[in-house]
Amino acid sequence: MKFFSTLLLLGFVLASSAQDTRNKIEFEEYDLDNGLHVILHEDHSTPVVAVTISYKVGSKNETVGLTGFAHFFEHLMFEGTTNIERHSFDKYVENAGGTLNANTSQDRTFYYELLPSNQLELGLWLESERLLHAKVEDIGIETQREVVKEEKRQRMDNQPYGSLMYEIFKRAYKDHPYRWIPIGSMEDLDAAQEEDYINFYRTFYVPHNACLSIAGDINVEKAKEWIDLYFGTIPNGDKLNIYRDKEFYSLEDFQVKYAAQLKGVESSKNFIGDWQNNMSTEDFLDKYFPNASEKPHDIPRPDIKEGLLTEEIRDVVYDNIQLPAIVTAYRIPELNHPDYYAIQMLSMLLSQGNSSRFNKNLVEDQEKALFALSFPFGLEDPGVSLMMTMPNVGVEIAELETAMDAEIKKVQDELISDEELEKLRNMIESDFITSNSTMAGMAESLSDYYLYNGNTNLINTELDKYLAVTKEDIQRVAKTYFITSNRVVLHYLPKEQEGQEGQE
Amino acid sequence: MKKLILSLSVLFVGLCSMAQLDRSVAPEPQPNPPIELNIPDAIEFDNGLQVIVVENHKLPQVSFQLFCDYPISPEGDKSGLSGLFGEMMGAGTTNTPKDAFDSKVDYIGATLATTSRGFYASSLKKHTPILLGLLSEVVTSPAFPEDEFERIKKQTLSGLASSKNDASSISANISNIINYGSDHPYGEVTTEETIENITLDDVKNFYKEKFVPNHSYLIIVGDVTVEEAKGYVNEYFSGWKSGVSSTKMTYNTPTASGSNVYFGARPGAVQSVINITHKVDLKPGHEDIITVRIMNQILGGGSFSARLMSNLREDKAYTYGCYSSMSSDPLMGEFSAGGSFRNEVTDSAVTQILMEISRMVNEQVTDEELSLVKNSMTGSFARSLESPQTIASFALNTVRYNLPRDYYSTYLQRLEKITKEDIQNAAKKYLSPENLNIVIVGNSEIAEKLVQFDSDGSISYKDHYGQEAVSLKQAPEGITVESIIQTYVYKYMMVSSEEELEAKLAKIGMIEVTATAFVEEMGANMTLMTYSGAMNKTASVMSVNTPTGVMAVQREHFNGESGGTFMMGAGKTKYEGDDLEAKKRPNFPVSQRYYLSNPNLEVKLLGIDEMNDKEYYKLQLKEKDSDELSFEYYSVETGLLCYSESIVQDEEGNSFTTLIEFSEYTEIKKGLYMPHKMTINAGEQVLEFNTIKVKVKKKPVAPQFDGDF
Repeated sequence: MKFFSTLLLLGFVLASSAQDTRNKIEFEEYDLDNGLHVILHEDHSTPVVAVTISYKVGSKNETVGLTGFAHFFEHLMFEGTTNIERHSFDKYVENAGGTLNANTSQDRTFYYELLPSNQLELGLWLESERLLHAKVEDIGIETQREVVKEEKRQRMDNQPYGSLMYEIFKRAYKDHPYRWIPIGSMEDLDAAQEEDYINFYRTFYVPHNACLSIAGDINVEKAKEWIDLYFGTIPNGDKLNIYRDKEFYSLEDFQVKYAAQLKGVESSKNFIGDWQNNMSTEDFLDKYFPNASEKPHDIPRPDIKEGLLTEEIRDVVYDNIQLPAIVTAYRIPELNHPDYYAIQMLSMLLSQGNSSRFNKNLVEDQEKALFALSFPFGLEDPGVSLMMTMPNVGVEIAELETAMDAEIKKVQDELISDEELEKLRNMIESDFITSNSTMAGMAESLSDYYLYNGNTNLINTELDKYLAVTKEDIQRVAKTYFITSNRVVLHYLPKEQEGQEGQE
Repeated sequence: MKKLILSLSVLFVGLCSMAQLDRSVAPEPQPNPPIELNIPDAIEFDNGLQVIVVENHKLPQVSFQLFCDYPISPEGDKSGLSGLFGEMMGAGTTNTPKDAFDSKVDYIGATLATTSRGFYASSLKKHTPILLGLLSEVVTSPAFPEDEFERIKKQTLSGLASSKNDASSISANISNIINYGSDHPYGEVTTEETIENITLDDVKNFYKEKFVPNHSYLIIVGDVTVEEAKGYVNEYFSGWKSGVSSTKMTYNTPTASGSNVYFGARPGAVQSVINITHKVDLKPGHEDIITVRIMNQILGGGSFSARLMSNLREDKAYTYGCYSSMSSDPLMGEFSAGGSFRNEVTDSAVTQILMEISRMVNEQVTDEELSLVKNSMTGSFARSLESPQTIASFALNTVRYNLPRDYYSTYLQRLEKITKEDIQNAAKKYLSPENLNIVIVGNSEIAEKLVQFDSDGSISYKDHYGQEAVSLKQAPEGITVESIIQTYVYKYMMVSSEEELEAKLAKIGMIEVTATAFVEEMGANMTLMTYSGAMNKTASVMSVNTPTGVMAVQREHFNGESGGTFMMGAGKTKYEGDDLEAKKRPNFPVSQRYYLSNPNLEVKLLGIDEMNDKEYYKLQLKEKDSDELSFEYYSVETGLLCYSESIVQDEEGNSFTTLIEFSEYTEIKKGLYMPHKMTINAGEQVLEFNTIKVKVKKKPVAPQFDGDF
């Protein structure tokens, strides 16, 4: 038996420089003059292309009273643009044989189209429309408010444990905007005016706050040509604002707003003629605003960093559930922090695979838990590592919590075994190599590495950072972050247990 | 330097094109990219195992999928056996017990899952030999350990328990029996009883009889050559000995005449699950399949522009989603359409779905519908090829169903040729708007409105396992809600007329009951004290006797004017608004006495129900403006209240039932006939309270009514 495990180790060493077994992921990246970041990855194995664009705006860019805006825009951005009629955005894609969707996190908003590769230009057109002149107006806002409310009902209110993130984050943060979650507050969405929405669009939906990431069966030169055509021609700064005003303002409003710049020209026959005769917006700007500034504005971002918690926060949440649950969150450093890799490996040690410590000990041997999970929720600013477990029938919730704490204590007290470390490394290597097997996944990963880490090439080098983690590192992060004073503990209990009435 | 020139030329191209850009029109697509499809043949080995290899060298990863194609057969009174067998295949081998097996799989960062027909496993190429060693053991020497068998059985049983309340499971059980008949393998229903019937020997026999290589396919996908794959099979799977192939059986299915409505009751449901369905004789590979798929996409496929979705959701807002499907199957496929709908629109939704089904048959689809669906199906076919597993499944289907070799490579050409006429013909051939099984699971209150859809005008009621629901026996003439309540109140108060009752109530103004229960989970006694006083005063306190003293878990009090509750962990709440008004209603000595004078309560006599071989009058109670129901069971023999059942529904639609049994009725000194045992059964929790003391006082005066405990 011993011989066998040595052999396994040897096998690992022989193949351990993982990059050798995997082809380097090639990509090209550059900035357009207007500040848009572009990443291109060429792969001809299937005639498909993923066109994605991320905007570096998430719920953490929202302000009190206007929460839920980033996610709301994800919905609003399907309503239409100057050139795309309401509700036809998805029809273009469906008719082209593609699919599309979007998602919003605390840190960014991501849109994608997955198309047959001969439809790349369509994808670029659609996304450039979104960036240049999406319709931010009451009719779309009203519709999407109702849709977002339905989404909240379905995902959060009506979903067992659906309020988990909300309940955790509101307790885990005092000042940082992570204290609310992307779905935000329906009252805020209701109370906000059209003007608030327009301001949000103009603040965050600008070229220098976006990353266009394309992966698939593309001809790079042709792709760049189209990108220049559709995106390179989008202005920025004051000029972009004037562009959008030209398309969405009435003549009267425009005349009033720009009276100073136009110095009386705004009421001239020529000006009104050009406005009414559908002169293209580009030509209109060249003629009347030749000197408009294209200087990009600063994007407001929170500068609060919340460190470790100083005292355990403990609470009970009553929900529409049948089985109780324990949810724990430990404050961890930001995604870019060197400790993040050891934290990730600690979570895998606890709950990835049938042989993980939680599963073997809590679920199978002690039969205390139905399941037990641990996973870091890494964010651009310091995030949390979450654990969730449900007690088996007849097991007291406190008993399970004690057993779970004992597992964490074990990691703090004893170094993990060599074999466990090798197991974690093998798992990570396998996960790494097999991730990004689809073009949509590839485009998203490249984009995320750029946005979160500021280093797109981390897609090729990040594995080394994991392989450099030692047993001591794992013990150290367990002792530093996975401590009682640095956590929020929630007991989820069935609603019937709340305010139970005595027998008559 | 080269780079500079390159970027200059890009810039130049950009400048030139700028003038041409017209943002107002969508760009035209480039020529269609060629779609290459190489479907590999199966290679047969000596033991009969057929191997399909799909080479894909993009990632250094290899996956193995075993599909053991034994003919499906009925499991009878052991329904659920194949599922248990599949899980037991993952419970370790004779050489490598479960813990070591799990460790080895995780150690190499592999995935491995077993099913009743084999496994799916995948790892990096460099770990392939270790993975194959484990897979070889799974196939030839599974351990089938007793303790895992018991654990998995227990899990399956708790899964079944929760599915009883699940409308979709109930709907599936009913639909399967109706479409296929209960002797057909697809019409079988797994119940607690059938699971309990399964023994470990059954699992072992299942393995011996069915799990043989001579009707199995091993599909190897990834960074592997055909030669390597052959080597793997010879080394790791040649020890798997061939056995007797089971023969394929044919099964009869019921023939429907006219449309029939089947109703599965789910008390208190706020939504109905509609499934409009019939069997369809459509075998895999049949020439009509593409036409049928297009037809179904237009009727109720996944897109928002499909007819069911655009009519029932986008237009009428009856639902969050309404879909249809039509499956092909070597035995028998089925058509199905429906979704979840609010109670009050259930019948309207059925009307609309039936209308859409008939419209498919009676009218041609539009050119726009056809072209949208063709485009989206072409795209989704092309996109599916991104995964090498798609090619593998094409190869498997080709050999399993004996399809023409070019079946998949000509798929898109055939799709393109389908016309509107073809679609209407397929609708006529495969949809039967006159012979539909209309299966509805929901609140009984809406059942009557569905009679209109049944050709014979009679609804069949089904239970959650799809069996005939036993309807309640009618109560004999003369038995009414009034008579049942009066009998109970008189019995309780040990009187025989209203005068005697009044006289007795003049002497008894307050009752105080002490009961205790032992709570096993806590290893402690719980005490419940209740105080009730004329005409509406109440108080109660539930406390736990811990080693350190007595701790109140919850309290309630009402002095006739005001009161409130206290819950440990939730704090105090005052009675306000409707709650307060409800508390003000008289309820002494038992609330039943005032049921009929309460304008907010509807009480109905449902009939005679049987429980543990005894007969009870079943009353249904419903508060106005509430969907929640409760039931009371009065013994036919003694007239006493024996059970009270309440069903509470959460927003998800899950219901929770609490059943309280009242037993051991005995007379106490002052002439009251009271239950001395109260058993509360709430899901997993059972609490048994035994009355240890009853005090009766003349005047309803006690500090507890004011919250002073």
